[in-house]
Amino acid sequence: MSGNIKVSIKNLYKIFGNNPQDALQHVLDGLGKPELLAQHNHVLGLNNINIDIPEKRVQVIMGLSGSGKSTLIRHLNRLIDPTAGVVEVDGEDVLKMDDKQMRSLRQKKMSMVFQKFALMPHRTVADNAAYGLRLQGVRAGEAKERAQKWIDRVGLTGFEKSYPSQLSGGMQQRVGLARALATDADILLMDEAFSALDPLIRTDMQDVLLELQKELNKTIIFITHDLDEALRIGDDIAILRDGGLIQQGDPQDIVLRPVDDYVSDFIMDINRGRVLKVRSIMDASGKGGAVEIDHNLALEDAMQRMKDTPANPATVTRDGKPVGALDMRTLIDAIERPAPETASGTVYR
Amino acid sequence: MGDLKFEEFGDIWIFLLTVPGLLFNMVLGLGKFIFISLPLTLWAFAQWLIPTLWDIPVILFKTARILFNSGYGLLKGVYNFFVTFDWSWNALNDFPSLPSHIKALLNLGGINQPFDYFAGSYGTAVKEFILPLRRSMNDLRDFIDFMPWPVFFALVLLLVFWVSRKVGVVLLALGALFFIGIFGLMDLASQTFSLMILSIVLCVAFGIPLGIFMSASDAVDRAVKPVLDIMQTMPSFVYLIPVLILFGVSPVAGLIAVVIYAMPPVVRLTNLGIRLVPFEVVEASHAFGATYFQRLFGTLIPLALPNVFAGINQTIMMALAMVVIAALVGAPGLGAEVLSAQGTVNLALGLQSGFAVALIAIVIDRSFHLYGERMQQHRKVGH
Ligand SMILES: Nc1ncnc2c1ncn2[C@@H]1O[C@H](COP(=O)(O)OP(=O)(O)OP(=O)(O)O)[C@@H](O)[C@H]1O
Ligand SMILES: [Mg+2]
Repeated sequence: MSGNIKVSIKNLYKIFGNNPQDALQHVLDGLGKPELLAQHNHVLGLNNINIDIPEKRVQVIMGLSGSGKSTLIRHLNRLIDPTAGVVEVDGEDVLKMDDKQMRSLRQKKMSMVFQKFALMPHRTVADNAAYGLRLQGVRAGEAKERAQKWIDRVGLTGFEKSYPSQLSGGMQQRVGLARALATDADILLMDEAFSALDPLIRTDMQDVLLELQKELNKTIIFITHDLDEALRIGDDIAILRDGGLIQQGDPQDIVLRPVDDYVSDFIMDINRGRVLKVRSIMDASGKGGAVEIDHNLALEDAMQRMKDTPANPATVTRDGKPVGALDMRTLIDAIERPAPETASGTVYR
Repeated sequence: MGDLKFEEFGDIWIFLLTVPGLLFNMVLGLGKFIFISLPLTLWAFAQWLIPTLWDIPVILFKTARILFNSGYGLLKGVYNFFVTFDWSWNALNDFPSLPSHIKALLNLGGINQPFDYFAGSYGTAVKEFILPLRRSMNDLRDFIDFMPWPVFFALVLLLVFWVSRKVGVVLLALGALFFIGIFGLMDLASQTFSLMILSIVLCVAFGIPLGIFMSASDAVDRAVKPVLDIMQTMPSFVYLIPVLILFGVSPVAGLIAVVIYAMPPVVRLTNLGIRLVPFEVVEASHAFGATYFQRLFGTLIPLALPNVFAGINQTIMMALAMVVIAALVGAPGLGAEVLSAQGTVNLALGLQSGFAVALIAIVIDRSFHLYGERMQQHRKVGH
């Protein structure tokens, strides 16, 4: 499933302060974020991050406020320079690029969508959407035409002459999306792109993004602090705390097996019945009865199918062939929210 | 309108033919000033400065001697205070100041002599420096003088309308022109106008690039800010003195005094405006790969414009406030009239000219204010 590695982050450290190199030594010696701040007055932004992001997938990065999400994503297009470490895009070391190569990377290979939209308030929707193309050196007429295609795609046809301040938040972010897509960059960086929107509009935008992604197959790095959003969009989730990467993997895996209380707290309030899939909790060696359920079914749908014969395990199928079994007891256990003290994840094994 | 009567030419065509010539002359004069005279002057200044730099050890020695002497004087004062047993508070009435011979050394040797030397030796360079300015001023004044008053009125009103887009302000301008005309101040006003226009052009031409430069570098910002503070707070009579020595009593001296006094706001607000551009927007331009100049002209300046305009507006107001003081060093116009009214204790005349200045200020202020508001249209939420 995982294709080529598109972006590779290796041993990345970022320390904010007057003398980051000295502070780095303390971090390598084992000092954490709070201690570094207290004893040396430096902020540990990122602490030894290693992530490989495969192409054409959606990598979600999660974490509480201040955990270093924005800092991390800004290293990919080098809006922030690291204190130590390597960032590779298509196998090329971003940190070794000179200004010109860097600009070319930002113009053509990566584009970005921002939490606060960051549109140019003095430009119309059309000009905003064409901004990246104009920087690429595309002539005005052609840029306008190409940008128009994306304005239409994000559903803003008719608003080309409006200014950002005349649009609602959701519409502004559609402009942001159109601007990012118009450059045809194959990597999309989205820093809490939908966090500033109302819940309904946010779901709308997620739909827009998923729809586009189905067809565009970009490599998307998506930051959020909303787990529902992460589960909806992400093929893979990485969780940050205090600048460190504490868990990374398949969303199902994270929900079922959180590595610590920090992660458990994250997944506490989600609708487990809807998020978890049958395949994640089935007994692969078991044999089920007459009721057949697909391995990718959500648990709440599986429960629906099994409720008439609760005593018999159901047969789990993939492409119509049986691959395991699931009994009601396991299903209910999995849907039940774990009590805080047993939230270690091992309960469901 | 002016000394050169329109009727003397007999033919409107002659007038119309003169206009392009005058404009051409003005542009040429300014171009020559910027591209030839200014570099020449700077070159001459450098030639003076470099040998002078050799004298630095001597200057340092002199300074040390002055400091030493003044320290000595201070100690001696304290010593005398104790030794003479003059324990009364009277002895503390005066702070021990530099002995007069040292003060003379400092003032003459440290400041006045070098400046006189510079002014004396490079008078020609200075003349070269001011010639285009003077010519531009004269040309501008003649240009306005040549015009039949209806043309001049129409031009001013059109300009006001173009800037403000408000009939009210145009009427105000008409009232102001009427007032100035009725009291026979039109010639003086046109001289004040040409002084204003030229000083504002100079303030903007030098101030905006300087402001941009400051916004791009914190070091430059820190270095220039105190200079701007001094330019604004130093009593303007003080720098009238070197301006007088260099340029003599002349309209150009007035012009330069006005420029020095009025430039800081446009520099400050250009700098501030650029620094106030929202960080996210600047970051977005980085993220999409803009070069510095693409960012400067595509994002920073357009978004800083409302502040820049506020700066230009303040600059204009300060320039107008300077007209009377500039008249002291030879700037002609309404300011000179106010001065002479003061000299002859003529309240009516003073009021008329003063009021004319105020009217001009109000019209410009209103127009620019509205212009700035129009520039900000995109910030308003429509729908
Ligand atoms: N320029 C800076 N100087 C000093 N500290 C910084 C700077 N930028 C970020 N930090 C610190 O680095 C840490 C990570 O910040 P970052 O903005 O990456 O967090 P985040 O996960 O994006 O949070 P949020 O959800 O609030 O956006 C924080 O502790 C922050 O205070
Ligand atoms: Mg953030």
